[in-house]
Amino acid sequence: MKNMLFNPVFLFLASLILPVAAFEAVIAQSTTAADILLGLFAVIMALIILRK
Amino acid sequence: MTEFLLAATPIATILFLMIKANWGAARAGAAAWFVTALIAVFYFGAPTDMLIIAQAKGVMLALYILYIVWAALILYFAADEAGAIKTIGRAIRSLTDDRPLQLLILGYVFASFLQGVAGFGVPIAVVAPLLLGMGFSPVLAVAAPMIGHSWSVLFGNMATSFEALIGVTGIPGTELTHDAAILLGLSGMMCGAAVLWLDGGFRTIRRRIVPLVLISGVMGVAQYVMANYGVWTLGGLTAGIAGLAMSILVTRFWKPHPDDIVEQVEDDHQHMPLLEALTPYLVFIVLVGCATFIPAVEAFLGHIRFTLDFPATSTSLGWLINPESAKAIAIFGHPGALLLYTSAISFAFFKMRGHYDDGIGKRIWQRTLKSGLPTSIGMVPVIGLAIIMDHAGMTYALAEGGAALFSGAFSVAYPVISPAIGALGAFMTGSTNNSNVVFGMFQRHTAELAGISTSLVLAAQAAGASLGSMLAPSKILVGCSTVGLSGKEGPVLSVVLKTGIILTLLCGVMALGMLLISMHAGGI
Repeated sequence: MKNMLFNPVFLFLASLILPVAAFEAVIAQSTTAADILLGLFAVIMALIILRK
Repeated sequence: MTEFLLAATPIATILFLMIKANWGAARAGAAAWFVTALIAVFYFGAPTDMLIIAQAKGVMLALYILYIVWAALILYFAADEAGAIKTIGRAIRSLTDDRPLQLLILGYVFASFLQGVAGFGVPIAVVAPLLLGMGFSPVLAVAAPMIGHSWSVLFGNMATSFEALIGVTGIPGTELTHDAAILLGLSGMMCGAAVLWLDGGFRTIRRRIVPLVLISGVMGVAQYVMANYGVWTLGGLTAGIAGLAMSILVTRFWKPHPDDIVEQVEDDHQHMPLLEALTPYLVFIVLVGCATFIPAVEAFLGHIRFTLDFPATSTSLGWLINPESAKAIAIFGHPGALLLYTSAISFAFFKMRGHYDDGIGKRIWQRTLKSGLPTSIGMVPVIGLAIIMDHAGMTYALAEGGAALFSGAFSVAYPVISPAIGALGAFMTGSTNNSNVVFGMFQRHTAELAGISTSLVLAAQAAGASLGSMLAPSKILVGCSTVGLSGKEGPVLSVVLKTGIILTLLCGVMALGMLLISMHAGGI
């Protein structure tokens, strides 16, 4: 699990997909989904900081 | 003042973490992203919708740049595995034995030429590995083309960023070209001198002052003539070609100083002919030429585009961002696509000529993956934080704070800070184009309020934005990825930052000099 979370391919793809998905949720006026997706993106940013 | 300090915190964070704490750009960028988001939300009143929109725009811009990065890496490794890079390095070594002159020709002239034809980080991605292959240190290999190409950004790559300045300020290009081309021509000479300085300080500049003045003079004049005859779209390209021609001429008569003669390495390895080694780059130039100058080809390749339309958004403090579309990615006509076509043609060519061993495809892909992934992870947070800063009004607060120092009796000195604001915009947004869009009107209004030449201040903004592109973290990531410095970008940023600040200040002083001369002549 730890290996998967810090996998560079996973981090890269997640950092691309999550903001666009959150944006689509904003357009669809699904505020809760947009906020959750933004939160997940913040988690990805935290993982990038922790990854040495 | 609080606004200014808080707006500066993300920049201070990223600089501290990269230079002092020696973090890689990806980690530092992600940490600074958190700082930016918190300040944007809790002080500048940015709603979460704005963060999402800004980050989605960041992803689109990152995709635009990464398309070039990955394609440039594939091309480079395809050429390197065939032995083409070693051959080109040897050819430049044989053109002149003078090591600093080799650095000047590749890191300044060739990088400026590539900026004329491609831009978007291509000069760094192509030149840095060539310099590394010639024995220059990895930091120098990245820093030299970053500094060397920067002066050519405004009128390079079809002058898109200059067009953006014209569009956003509403001032005709013909009123701006005179001052902008003079400032950039002079700054170009400074960039060339800075490239030489990297390799041995002022002594190196002094010993090569004649080639430097000849080459940079020809490039500056070529750019000035093209820009002032209304053909500014070809200004950077023409300057690059003129510079390459003059470089070859200079090497015919130039006698290197004995201390700077490069050691000739005995090499019994069988090299390919130079023309064969240059095939990838010649093919690239031809493809770019066709895609740029043949309207039918341009229209055909640009037919399928990928973009997103973003709605208007505003902060609770009333800072408004208008609706806009993301920079469209023409799937088959993007510079990255042209690099991919070049890679495919070069790969087939080298394969036919028997320059590859078994398992070459897997080897090229593994090397590309190893270099490209760390860069790609860092790109999204770095670009994202810059766009959040812009959308929350933080970048504007920074510029306003700087400009406030030059109000009242000091307004005549405003041209000194004008390029610094342009450079700040390029540093934060990673793009000269974006800097001109963000600060173009601000600079125009400030010049009008101060009662000084609008065209000169806008020229100083454009020149500063052009020079500031050397500081863009996204470009540093691109360069470092090609020389094995991924995750260790701090030393490169440190070198480029110091040089960039000095060059921007010098540009400001030159702008002030031009203002004083025009005032003296009664032409305010």
